[in-house]
Amino acid sequence: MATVTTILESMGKQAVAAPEADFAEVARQYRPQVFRFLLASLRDADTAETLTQECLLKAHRNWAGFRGDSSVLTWLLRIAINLQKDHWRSRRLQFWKTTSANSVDADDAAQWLPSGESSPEAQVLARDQVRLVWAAVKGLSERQRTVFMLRHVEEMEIQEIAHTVGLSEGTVKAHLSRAVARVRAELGGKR
Amino acid sequence: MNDHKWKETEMNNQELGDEVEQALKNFRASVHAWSETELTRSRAVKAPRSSVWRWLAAPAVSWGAAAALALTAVGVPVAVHREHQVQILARQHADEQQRLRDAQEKAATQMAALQTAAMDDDKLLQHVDEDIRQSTPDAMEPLASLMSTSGEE
Repeated sequence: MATVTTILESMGKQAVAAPEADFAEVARQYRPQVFRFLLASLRDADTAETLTQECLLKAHRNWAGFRGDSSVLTWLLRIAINLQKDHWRSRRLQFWKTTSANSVDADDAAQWLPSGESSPEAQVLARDQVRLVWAAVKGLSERQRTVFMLRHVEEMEIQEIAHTVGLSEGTVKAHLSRAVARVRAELGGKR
Repeated sequence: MNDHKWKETEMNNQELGDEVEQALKNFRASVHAWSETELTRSRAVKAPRSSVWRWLAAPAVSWGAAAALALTAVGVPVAVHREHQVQILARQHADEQQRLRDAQEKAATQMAALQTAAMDDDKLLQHVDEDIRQSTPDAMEPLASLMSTSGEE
């Protein structure tokens, strides 16, 4: 019988999961990635946190039914994407629009950089580039943005992305190509 | 990240061009840094909403509830007003019926009184007739019998 550790080690890549695996351990391991994806997609830390909790709760409820056809991360991200879609849909049709827009501006989001050893000039340049990428991301469709984030933030393979979003690999590549073209145009236009 | 994935990424980045590659790398690093900071930041997390609340908060249900509320806001006062009107009409009808019954009873009483009075008149007349009959002098008896005989003819 596979141990929890071996299952978790293989979960990122392979379709292996056992019902006896401790879900708390799964949640602990994958929570940062799910949160990061939602934060990048929504640019709202509070909503990202709430949806992350909902995603893990939903996953926990369905954990017994998880057959391991895909990796746990793919499965969790698929749940997160659906929750995100529901979130946008409910925001669009919300009768009582009480929730204020908490999402931070692209300029504010661009302020985050890892404290590396690069010079202040390099930091400024990097910040400007990040701001321009955020500006390009803002103009993407919901699907293009999701594919872009999975590829360039989560560094997922095309095949994995296709499986996660339920599109063909060709469609994923087309979305990515358009997204990168927009980033390129943004970088070229503001130079 | 494993070697295969790294090679694929590198290959793709070469296709993207140096500047775009660098920008995407910085973007990734920025999002990771932001996410790590937000994850470690303590914040009040809203409890996941119950399925009932989620159902209630669904747009279709919200709009339906709003429509029902509007319908109730208009419908209830109208229904109450109509009910009030019906009650007033029913009360008026009942009063009218009572008045008619009273009038009928009164008429019946009057009729009975009249009948009683009529009976008394008959008795009085009979009594008078008897008195008259008794006061007829004996000497007039033949004339009286004659009158009655001629009357019969």
